[in-house]
Amino acid sequence: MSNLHLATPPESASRLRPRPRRIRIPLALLGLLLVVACALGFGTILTQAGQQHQVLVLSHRVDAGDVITASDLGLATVSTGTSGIAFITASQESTVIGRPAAVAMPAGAPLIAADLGSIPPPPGQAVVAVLIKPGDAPPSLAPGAAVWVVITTPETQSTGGASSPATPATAPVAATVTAVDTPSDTAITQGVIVSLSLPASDVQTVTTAAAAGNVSLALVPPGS
Amino acid sequence: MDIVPLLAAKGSMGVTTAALTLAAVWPQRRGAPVVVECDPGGGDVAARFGLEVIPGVVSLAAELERSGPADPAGPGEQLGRHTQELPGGLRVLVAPTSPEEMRLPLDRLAEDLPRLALGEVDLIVDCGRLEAPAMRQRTAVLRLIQRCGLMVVVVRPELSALQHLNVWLPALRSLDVEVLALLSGRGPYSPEEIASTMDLRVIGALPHDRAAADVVGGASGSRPDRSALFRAARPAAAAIAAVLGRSLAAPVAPTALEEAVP
Repeated sequence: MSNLHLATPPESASRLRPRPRRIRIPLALLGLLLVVACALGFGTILTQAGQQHQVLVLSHRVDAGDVITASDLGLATVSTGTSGIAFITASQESTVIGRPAAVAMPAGAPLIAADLGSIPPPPGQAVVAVLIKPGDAPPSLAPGAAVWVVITTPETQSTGGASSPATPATAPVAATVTAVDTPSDTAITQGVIVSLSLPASDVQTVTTAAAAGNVSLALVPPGS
Repeated sequence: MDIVPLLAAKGSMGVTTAALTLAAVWPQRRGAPVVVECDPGGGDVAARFGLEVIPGVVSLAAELERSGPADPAGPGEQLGRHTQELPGGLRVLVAPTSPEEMRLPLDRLAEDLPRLALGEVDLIVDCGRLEAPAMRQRTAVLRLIQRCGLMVVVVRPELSALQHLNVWLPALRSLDVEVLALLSGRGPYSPEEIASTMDLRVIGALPHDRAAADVVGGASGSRPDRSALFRAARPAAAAIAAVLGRSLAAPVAPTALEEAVP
């Protein structure tokens, strides 16, 4: 041991290194694939959760039936991706203005589609519902169809009264079908309820005839 | 330059690991050594590091057999052609795994290694185990040891291994070589105690360092430079180099080795 104090070399690098690790290609690929899949999945979730949208909120209190105007609306930023709530985005503002509120809402409430009432008929027009018995209208009636509302004269009147033949039935009223529904009342087993959009001046005529059951619908070309 | 033969006493394993470790930390001023596998029981390094057996001991012995000892490029060049490089740059002359394939090349190498060592590199020679049954047929290895002037015996510092070494010591000393002991692993005796009791030069103690030994055994892992094994090996390598640095006695004539075997 007498020579141990001589020439002890510094702890330099030795001439032997560990053998390089063997890389198993399938395992390495699997690992890479897992990394990519996790990154993609996480990225998707993050972008969805982080997707911010400008949505419409009410700037002050609105009662049921109030027509919503631009001054009623404000903007709020929310993440819409994962909430599942059908917010109305700022870009859809034009579809909201002019529609009535279906329910009373406090200031600051975000608007959703169900908060809005149906679009009111344009000025000068009215929507009336008419119960049409089978045979009084073509069965192919659908919303959007242009029809003539024909007021028929009851046979008892036409044979009995003298004035009736002289005055022919009222001229047909041009109308547009807005909805066709089957009656929800179980007492009415036949016929359909047709919603008609027609000039406000003809509402009285049509509703009176409809109440008596003297209405027929004729499908006509649009605009006639 | 010089040849350092390493042998393991019976019951003491790790002579290949010791040879590689000493070579890995061999003093810079003596240049990079070459590890030579001369274990009559067959080589380990090729299998440990996933190397081919050729080039190695077999190809070098075949070339020596064919062309004779003179090589125009010089002995160092001739040896270098047959070595293989381990990760980190350590050069090794690998041996075949089978003892049968090792027999003839070993005879040739024992004759020619001293001449090949005339080049610029030190040779650290793994000579396998120090065992009586094998040593009778191992005259090639003993002849080699005799020409080197020193030998390093790797011994575990416990009673049975030390007793086996003690039986061998008179025979080894009769070869007129300096016997250096390198302790390996755990045991109840301190280096000083062994040195004084057996009148033996103990040049160091390599600790049981599993991680570093695995790396020397060809496993992947962290770099062993600062490991306990390599830190302990540096002073041991320096001590061997210091012995080599002294002028060694001229090679003595071979004695009758059969008589030397206890």
